Amino acid sequence: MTGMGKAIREEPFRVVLVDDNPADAEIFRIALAQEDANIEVTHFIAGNEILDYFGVGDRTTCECKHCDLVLLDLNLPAISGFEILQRMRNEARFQSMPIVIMSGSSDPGEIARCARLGATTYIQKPSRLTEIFAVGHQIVQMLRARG
Amino acid sequence: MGEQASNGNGKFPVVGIGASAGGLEAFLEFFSGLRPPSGMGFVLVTHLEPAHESSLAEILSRATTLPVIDAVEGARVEPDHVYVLPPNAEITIREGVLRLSPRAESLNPHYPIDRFLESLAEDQGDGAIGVILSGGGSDGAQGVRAVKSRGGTTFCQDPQTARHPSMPHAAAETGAVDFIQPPDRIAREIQKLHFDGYLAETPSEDEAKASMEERNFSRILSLLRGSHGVDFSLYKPSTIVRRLGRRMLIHHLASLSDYVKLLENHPAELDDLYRDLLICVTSFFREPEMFDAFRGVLSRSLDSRKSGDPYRIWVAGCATGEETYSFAIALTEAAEAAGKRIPLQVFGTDVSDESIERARSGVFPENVQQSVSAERLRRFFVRVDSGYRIAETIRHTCVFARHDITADPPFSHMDLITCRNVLIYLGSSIQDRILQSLHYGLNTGGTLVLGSAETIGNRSDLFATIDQEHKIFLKKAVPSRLGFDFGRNGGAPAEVPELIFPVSRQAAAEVDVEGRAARILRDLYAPPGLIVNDDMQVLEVHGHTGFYLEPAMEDTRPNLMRLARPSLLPSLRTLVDQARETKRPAAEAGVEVEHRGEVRKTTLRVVPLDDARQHYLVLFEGPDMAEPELRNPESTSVRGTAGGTAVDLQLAQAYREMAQLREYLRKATEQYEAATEELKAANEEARSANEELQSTNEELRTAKEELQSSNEELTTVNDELKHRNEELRLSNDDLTNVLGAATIPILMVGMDLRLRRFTPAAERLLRLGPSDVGQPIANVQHGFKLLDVNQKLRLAIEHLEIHHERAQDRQGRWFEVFVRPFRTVDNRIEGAVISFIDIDDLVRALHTAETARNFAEAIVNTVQHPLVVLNADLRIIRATEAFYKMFQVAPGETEGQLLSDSQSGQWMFPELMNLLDAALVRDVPFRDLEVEHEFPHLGRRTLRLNARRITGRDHQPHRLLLAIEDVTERKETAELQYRRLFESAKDGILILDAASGLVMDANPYFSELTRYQRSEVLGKRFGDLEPFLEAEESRRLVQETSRDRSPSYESVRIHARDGKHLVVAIIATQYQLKDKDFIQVNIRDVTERRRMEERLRRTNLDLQQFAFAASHDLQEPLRTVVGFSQLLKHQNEGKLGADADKHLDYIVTAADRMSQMVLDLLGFSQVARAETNPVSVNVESVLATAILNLQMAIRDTRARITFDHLPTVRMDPTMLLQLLQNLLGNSIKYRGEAPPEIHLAVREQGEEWVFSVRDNGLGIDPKYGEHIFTVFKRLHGREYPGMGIGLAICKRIVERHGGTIWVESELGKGSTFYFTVLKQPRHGD
Repeated sequence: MTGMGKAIREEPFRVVLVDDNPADAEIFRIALAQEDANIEVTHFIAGNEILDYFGVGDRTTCECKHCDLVLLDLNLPAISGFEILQRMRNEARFQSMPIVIMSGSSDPGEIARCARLGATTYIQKPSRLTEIFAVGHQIVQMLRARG
Repeated sequence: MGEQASNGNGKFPVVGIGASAGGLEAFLEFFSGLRPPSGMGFVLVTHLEPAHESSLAEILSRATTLPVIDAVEGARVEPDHVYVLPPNAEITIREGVLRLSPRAESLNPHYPIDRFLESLAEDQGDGAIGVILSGGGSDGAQGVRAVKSRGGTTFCQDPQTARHPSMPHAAAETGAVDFIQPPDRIAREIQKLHFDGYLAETPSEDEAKASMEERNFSRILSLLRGSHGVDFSLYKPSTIVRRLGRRMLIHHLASLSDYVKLLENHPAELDDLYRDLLICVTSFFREPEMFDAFRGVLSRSLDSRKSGDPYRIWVAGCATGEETYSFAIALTEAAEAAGKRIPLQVFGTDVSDESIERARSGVFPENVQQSVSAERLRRFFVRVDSGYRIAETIRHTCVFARHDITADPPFSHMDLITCRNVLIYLGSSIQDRILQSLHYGLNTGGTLVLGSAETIGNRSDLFATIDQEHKIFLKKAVPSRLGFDFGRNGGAPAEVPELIFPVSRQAAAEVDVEGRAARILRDLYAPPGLIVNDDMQVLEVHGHTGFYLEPAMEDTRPNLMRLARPSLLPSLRTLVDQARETKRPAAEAGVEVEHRGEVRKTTLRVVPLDDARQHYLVLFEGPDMAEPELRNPESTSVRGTAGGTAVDLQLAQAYREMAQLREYLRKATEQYEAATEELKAANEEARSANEELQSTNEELRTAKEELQSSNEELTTVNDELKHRNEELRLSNDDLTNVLGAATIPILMVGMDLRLRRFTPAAERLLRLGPSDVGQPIANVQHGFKLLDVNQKLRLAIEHLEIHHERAQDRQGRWFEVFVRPFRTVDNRIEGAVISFIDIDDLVRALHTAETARNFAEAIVNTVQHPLVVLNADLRIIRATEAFYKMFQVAPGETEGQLLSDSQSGQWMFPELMNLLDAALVRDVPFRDLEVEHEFPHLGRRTLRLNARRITGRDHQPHRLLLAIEDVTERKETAELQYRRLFESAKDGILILDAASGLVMDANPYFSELTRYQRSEVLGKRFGDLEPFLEAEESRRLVQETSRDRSPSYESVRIHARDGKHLVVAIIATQYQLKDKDFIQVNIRDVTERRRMEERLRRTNLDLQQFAFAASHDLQEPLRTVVGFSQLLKHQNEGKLGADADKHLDYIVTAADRMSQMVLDLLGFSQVARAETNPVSVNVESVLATAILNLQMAIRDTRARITFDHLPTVRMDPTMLLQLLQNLLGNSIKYRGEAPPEIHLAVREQGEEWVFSVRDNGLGIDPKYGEHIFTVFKRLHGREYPGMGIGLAICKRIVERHGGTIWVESELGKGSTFYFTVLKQPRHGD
């Protein structure tokens, strides 16, 4: 499923995945790999890791680690997904970065809050494999659409 | 226009039947009335859609046994056959053969019926029968006129029976219809006519005449002359006979004498016959070819005409004016074409006043379109309601007058006379006379137009033929012979001398050879001469008389005495006188005549012609005719004796002349004297006649005056009578109205005890009818019990008694029956009047009242309580047994006494008196007033008093009912019971004085509750009581209690004497006892209950928290289990062995189900936990979203969702969406075989909306009841996904908004889920 006749990309898609549940992270990584082998997934367990990774809040850094998409869980220890989302969107360099919220919650209030804070989209974590693969497909589609 | 040959194979009638809309029905009816064989041929003409295939023939052939055939070109009409006009064709008949032509394409309306009937009339003459049945428009009207004019018989359907009456109506309007009947009757009538033989063979002229009784015939003609002033004896007898025959047939008369009788007795029939005789066909531009030809003639004659010269036209026999207007139009057009302004004067004349009337109106039916081109229609006609009216420009040029061309003098100075189709009806002698009079009427060079079948006969001497084909003639410039026979009309002189001028001789008939020879002889050998009448007017001149006569002036009646040369005059006069006297020829020879210097001697001879008219032949015999010697023998002798000198001769001549003159003078004198004598005698006679006349006149005047005065009297009497009559009429009207309006049954009976008159009410009551008038009253079945009417009547009539009694009628109604004598104005008795006054209501009311009174008495006497009735003065009127017993008094000493005075009233006190007064006067009843009194015999008793006014009707004094009850014992019992309740109650109870708020009493439980002794609180102010923390609140309680009487406080904290805090509920009630207000305060310990409630709330909250946390936290590991077990299966299926695959499947399935349950639980706990944000939300728009969300399922199951108009409610929109979506989803999920039909309805109920979602699904077994709303109850086994959490969520949502949800269902039929929503949400939920 690579490229559909296009020349094979040299650069892999870079996806940053934040989830405190390694099992969840693992299965989504598999789902993405299943869809496109040429994806590089960086996984963080905790919120501060991603903030550090991108240097969020560090005024001295203005260069941006290359990343095509962020997959963000909401229910994280210490720093919640909402806070990460809010803080990233506060900085201009993350304005156009796709940040996809992936959460087990189906609480409409939470979904609405994510939208307000500037989430690109909200995906409720599925449990069935076919649905997980479908989410993987959806994300790869999103990546390809952005080039 | 002679009789046409009928069809070849023997003569039989051909019936042309026209119909249009509604025709089929009429045809069927027609043939239902026909009894074949009829011996007639039928041709059916209808208006058909050109393109439409007609099944008329087929339908009709089922209705009649006659063969029904679609008409084809060239078909010969056979008897007992029916021919039907095919669509898009026109049909005519010629020589018994049908002619079909394609229907003309034209914008004008199509008139096939007219066309056919006209051809039928032309072809069949009097054998034609025209029938017009139902249809719209006016087609056929023209046709029946044509048929009628040719002597045929015409019918039309009675417009009232026709579905579309306008066609038969138009036909009937023409006046040319013989029978107006329903179709079946028409059929029978036609058959009857045919069998009567008239139609089959028309008697020929001779036969007819022979069969006619001459006397009857002339009687009819004289009747007609008398009634209509037209002499039909001049008409062709055949025409008249034919028409008479027809009229007789119409009246079913066999003999002419019968018809004469009918005519004599029914003037209307005379009118009909007259109309029949005069009926004629006319239309605009009849025979258009003639008009074309005429236009040519006209344009030539107009060429030589100066503008402004009036052109005069006379249309003789103009009928209803079409012809007149046609010529006026033709002339107008011709004048325009010639570019000249020619004033037009058109005279239209006819014998029929009716026709003239129609002509004058100038209004013609719609079908003028047929004969008038669209161009002319536009220019010369104006559209009106009933058709077309001739334009004013044409109308005002035309003058219509009644005129009988056979009798009245002609109009004169005409440029054009048309007389079409008039002569054909007339005998040949009258034709000739009319031609002469037309000749007279025309100006020289004028044009005559006759009908196509008419000729000028042998009058080619008067008219020159211009166009033989179209019968256009020119007047020859010959003098007219006005040979009218005016005798009948009596206006003109009996004789008009015939004038024959020399010119006329050439023109005179050249038939008589002998006469011609005689004329030649006369011209050659006879002396010139002339014929004069007694007045010396020259009638005829022959020979060369020029020498003897002056040239004739343009004088119609040249007189010989003026024509003769002067020298001839004396001799002429003498000779004429002599001839007149002697009646013998007289002659004188040698009369000298001088002319142009030549002197001739002539012998004058006057020969009286041997006729009664005294004509004289005057001859001038020339000198060559007789010798002078021969002529004058005396002169010779005179000359002989006198010696023959010239002087002698002259003398002799002079003598002779003198003698002659003397003789002449003598005779003149004699004549003069004789004439004078005669005049004198005549004068005498005249004078005496005058005197006689004068006296007669005087007599007449006297008679007239007498007549006048008696007339005057008669008028007065008449006026008076009229006035009386009017009064009588009025009073009769009044009486009738009074009787009619009086709902009282009244009978009037005469002296003979017979019924004279009765009112409508009596009619109903006694079941009388008009036939009962005049019947003996005893015979009237009045139906009243016990009522001897006869006897009562006799009493009334003979003894003038007014009798009345009550009686019941058959139905048991009560009447007061009055029998009164009937008095006339002058007080005579002329019978009796019986009136029945309905007093049923009264009697019944009386009965009712009686019953009620008895009832009331019975009650009063039965009641155990003492009752007393008081009058307005408060005196005792009545009292019950119980009263007497209670107070131990006797009725005698009580009744009539003042209540206060009586022994029983000792307890009266002023306040009670006031109350009683108030009850009596102001109608203020009082209840349960308790009075305590120490009675001498009874001891102390408590009495409870109730009083109520008995209102008197109609100013009668009011009364008062006073009920007294001894409640002494009952009161004591009640007090005891109360006390026990008070003391054993498990509420703390305080009794307060409402006015002061002081504690009056406290029960034992109060002490138990508060640990305060009764004595400690008694007499204290409630607000100051120790246990109650807030004095302010306590005061408020007292205040509120006196205001709204029962305030309650849910939880009030108090503290007991032992320091324990208690939560209590307080309910206060106020009541009145013996004019004092008390407040009862109930204090209930609710401390324990509050505590329990609080614990329950906390547990609930914990539970919710737990459920949320559990489901939320469970979700994550579960997701891992599901995801990875499936991944494992996905990646390793078939690699691990069959057992492992199976086990893995178990894991995958179980994990999946568990995950779903957790998700559902999570959703449920979210609903339970989440904040509700009620806002105004329109249910309809939320429903739309729900339907949108469910659209996949809806499409897959072909579900149909309907809903009422839905209101706006205050709810959390997300939750409402979930509620609706769950309910709809549920209905779709648990559907039956048929596609789901779901209806969402709403109704208002109190403060709630009740929504319902009805489906046609599987339904729910009632045994599951409420279980369906509990979490994880699944009712449908495993065949449907889901865990039944949906309804649990619904219940949660509804309840969180303060509503309830329930289901009504029938297994297999469907379910209806109801939920309620508060209109005004309560706060705090």
